[in-house]
Amino acid sequence: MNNKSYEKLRLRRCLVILLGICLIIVLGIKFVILGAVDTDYTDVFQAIYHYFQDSLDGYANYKVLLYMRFPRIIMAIAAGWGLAIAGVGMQGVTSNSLVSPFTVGISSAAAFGASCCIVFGSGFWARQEGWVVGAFISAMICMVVVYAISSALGMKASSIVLAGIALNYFFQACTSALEFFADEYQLSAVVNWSFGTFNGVDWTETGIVIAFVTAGFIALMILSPKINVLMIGDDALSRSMGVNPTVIRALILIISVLITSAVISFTGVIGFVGLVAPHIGRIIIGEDNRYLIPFSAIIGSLLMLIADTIGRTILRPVSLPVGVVISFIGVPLFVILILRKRGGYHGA
Amino acid sequence: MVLECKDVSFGYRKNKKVLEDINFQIKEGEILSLLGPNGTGKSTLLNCINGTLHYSGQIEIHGQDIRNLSLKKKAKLVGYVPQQMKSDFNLKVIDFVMMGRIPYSRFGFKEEDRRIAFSTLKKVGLEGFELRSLNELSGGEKQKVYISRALTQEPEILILDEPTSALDLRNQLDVMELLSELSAEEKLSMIISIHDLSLASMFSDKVMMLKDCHLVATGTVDKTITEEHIREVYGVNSSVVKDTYKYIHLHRDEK
Repeated sequence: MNNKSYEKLRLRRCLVILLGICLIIVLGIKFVILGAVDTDYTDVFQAIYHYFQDSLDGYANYKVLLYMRFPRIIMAIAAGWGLAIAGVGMQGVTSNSLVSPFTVGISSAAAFGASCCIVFGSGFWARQEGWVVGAFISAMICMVVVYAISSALGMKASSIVLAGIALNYFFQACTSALEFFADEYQLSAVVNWSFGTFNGVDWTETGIVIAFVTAGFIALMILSPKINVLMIGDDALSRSMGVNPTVIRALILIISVLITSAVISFTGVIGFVGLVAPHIGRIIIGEDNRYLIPFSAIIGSLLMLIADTIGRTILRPVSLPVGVVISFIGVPLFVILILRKRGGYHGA
Repeated sequence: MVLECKDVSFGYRKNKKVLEDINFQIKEGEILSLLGPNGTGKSTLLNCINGTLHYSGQIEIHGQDIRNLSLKKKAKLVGYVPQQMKSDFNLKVIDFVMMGRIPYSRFGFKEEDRRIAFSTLKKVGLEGFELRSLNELSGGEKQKVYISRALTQEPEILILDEPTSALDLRNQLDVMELLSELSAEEKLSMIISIHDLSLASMFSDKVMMLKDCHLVATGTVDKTITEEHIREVYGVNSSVVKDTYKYIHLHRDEK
């Protein structure tokens, strides 16, 4: 065995990642023409052409493609990418594969923030944009509290998980209390928000999510060798390798929460991806976070893209929430993969 | 002198010392074995040297107080092999060994890092194991991979916490022989926490015996591993027998 064999392994891993990215692009193009309004590939090129010619008036189909389908598809890719990398980061630094971005109570907190705006909001806070801001602020408050409790307990892996679980229950209870006081319309809005859907996303929202996810992805890739060290689960060993586990855990917690909050504030709660995409990634590419982070992101994006497309086409013109569909697709896929890999994770 | 500990004390709580006034030195290429009953502070002392605990007193490496060094700089001086790995993660052997280059890398590993990782695996006799998964390895092979990972840090001192405790007789000897060879060839100083007095006698240049957070005896194997010290430290009567190899055969007769 020599350096050549290792180079081959690296090349194989990079090829797997490249193939995944190609698959996202192919499926993205394929899925953009599917939906309640019939379109084809010619419409896609025509829509782009007319957009640049500034002559879209009178072409409803092109507008549907440009202002509804494209942002939706890209949002699905970005949301899946973001939730998956947040999951890998959290699982890595807590050495716990049952952890997801939602374990630290973010989804419950965001749901509570949005519910507060729905039930009590007026003016800006009563509008959809106000709900988004409310959800994000509430998620940030949750992160600060989790961070404070974990810091007081030495920023250990277990302290992050325990503080998060406690806050999860707390915010769930708060949302339930709000639902109790909400009227019929408000209750329906609260429940709808919690479903998780890409209905009505626009380019601005998509752009904000892309900015958060890209920044988070770059930060996580830079930190990936250190996440590998923390994955071993021995803080003394981490320090002996020049890695401060307290600082890295805090950084990953903040990055993961920011990504997750940015995504779910716009889409509502979409669970499961952050938990399952890293597992599927491990089965296929192995546990090295330098490759696992991008590959899990690809899996997350693919799952989200497929789930959303099924959700909006299977009962069209009715659109099923992506949060529901993704569990229907992801769970069987996940079970098949873990049954096939009973011997453990080996990867590419 | 590579390492010098002066009046090192440590306690997890006030008034409850785990280590008290520990003094010793270690020279280049020397192997020092730490002996003593469970809970006597051996691992704690290793963690003080490792820079992961806040002790009182002074620990110097090449005359530099390690308290004044950053974690990265410490990592370039001290390599650490823990008692056991807690997580059930599974990486390729080469990816795991490469972690030892983290103190030297900022944004990813370079060709030089890979070359060093390959060369340390060769040194521990695991050439050809690079692309195997850690979970596929036997206990002895895993221990050699952990040593290789620490060597990849290119440290001045290697500290090992009970490296043979989970190994069978053959692997215990293999690992200790490997450490002895590395120490001689690389002029690498080592501090090894160990329970097996025979192994300590065979492979150590110096021995240190701890009991109830105090240093009971330190010095050469001949002077330190004696029936009196064993009785004092472990509360066990024994016969120390010299044979042709180096030393020792311990025979416990009565308590």
